[in-house]
Amino acid sequence: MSTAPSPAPSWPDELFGVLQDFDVRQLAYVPDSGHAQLIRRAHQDERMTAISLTTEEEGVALAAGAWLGGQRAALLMQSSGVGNCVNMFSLLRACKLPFLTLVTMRGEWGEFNPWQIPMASATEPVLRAMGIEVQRIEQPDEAADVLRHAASMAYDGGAAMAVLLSQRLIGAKIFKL
Amino acid sequence: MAGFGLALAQPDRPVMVLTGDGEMLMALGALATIGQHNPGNLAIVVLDNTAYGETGAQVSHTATTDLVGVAAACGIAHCERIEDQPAVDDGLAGRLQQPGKGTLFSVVRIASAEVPRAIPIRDSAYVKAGSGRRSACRSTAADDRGAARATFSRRGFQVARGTRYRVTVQRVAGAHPTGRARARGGPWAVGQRHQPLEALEHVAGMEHDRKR
Repeated sequence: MSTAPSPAPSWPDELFGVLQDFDVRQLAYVPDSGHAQLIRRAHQDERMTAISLTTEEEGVALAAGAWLGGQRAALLMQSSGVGNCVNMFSLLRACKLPFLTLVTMRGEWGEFNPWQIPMASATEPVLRAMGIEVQRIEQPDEAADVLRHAASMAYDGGAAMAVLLSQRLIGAKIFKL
Repeated sequence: MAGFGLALAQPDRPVMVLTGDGEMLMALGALATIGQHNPGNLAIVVLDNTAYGETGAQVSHTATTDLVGVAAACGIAHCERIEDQPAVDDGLAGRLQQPGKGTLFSVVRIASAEVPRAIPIRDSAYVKAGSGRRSACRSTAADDRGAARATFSRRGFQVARGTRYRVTVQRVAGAHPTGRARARGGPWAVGQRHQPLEALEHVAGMEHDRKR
């Protein structure tokens, strides 16, 4: 991992900048390589508390509690983690809570891990079935723009929003056996 | 976890999560998550009757699983079991009022008997909205007349020895303490008072308007 500053911010750094602009103070995550840079930035940031979860559904409840206390939270997870959240998403609709999650997609582009395949095609239908609006980032240069508009819908508009980061954007993992 | 998010967002306010053993068993991983941070203003109180009361009183896993041991193994700072009323009044009440250096996890063993209860408001959006409100309400207790800005909820339960207790969880905002076992500092106080029993579900940080 290079520690030298890069000439232009990468799309994860741009995404982190959007979260900072919206004063997100709690960033919950289950460790994920696609979100590695965002997670690293969250731990380094003085204004943010980064919370590592044992399972993704914890992050939905955490975000609800943060909102009750007047802080904004966001949840970083992988497509497989969406499956772990389904019933907890009821909290968002029952209480009319805003919500923002960034979901790195697995199982849709060059996926080597068969366990990731089932939730890939189920991620968007599952989110929509639970009343969460879904938007996608396919290209690096649209990342900040999409997240900014999704964050506005969430924190200003009160909506439950999921921004999916395509696996093609993240880059398929290559494991040599 | 919602209580944890609330405690992080409001570090100067004590936050208590009041839950049952069945619900706590569904989220054992949350103890590992909270154990990494251990906020001193967070207390998790589990009313443990070793049963799933609402669904036909099936025996719960706390017959064999020790929640206090689980919480301690997850790194929660202060873990304890409470089995009688003095431990609530003299021990737990004081600890809730004076947040410590780490999260408090307290399992209160209670009897399984059904107690009269009032159905809580189930409109979750209403309850959520109420968490920001302060309302003036007059309590029925004579020693409460000074608490013009108090809102409260109460839960009555029987402790293991079978004696009926009434435990009041009271939030007093801006009022001077009156009566015994009242707010000794911090916005939350647990005390005992002799009033008609009303049991309300209560979630940490949320209040219900009470017009009496």
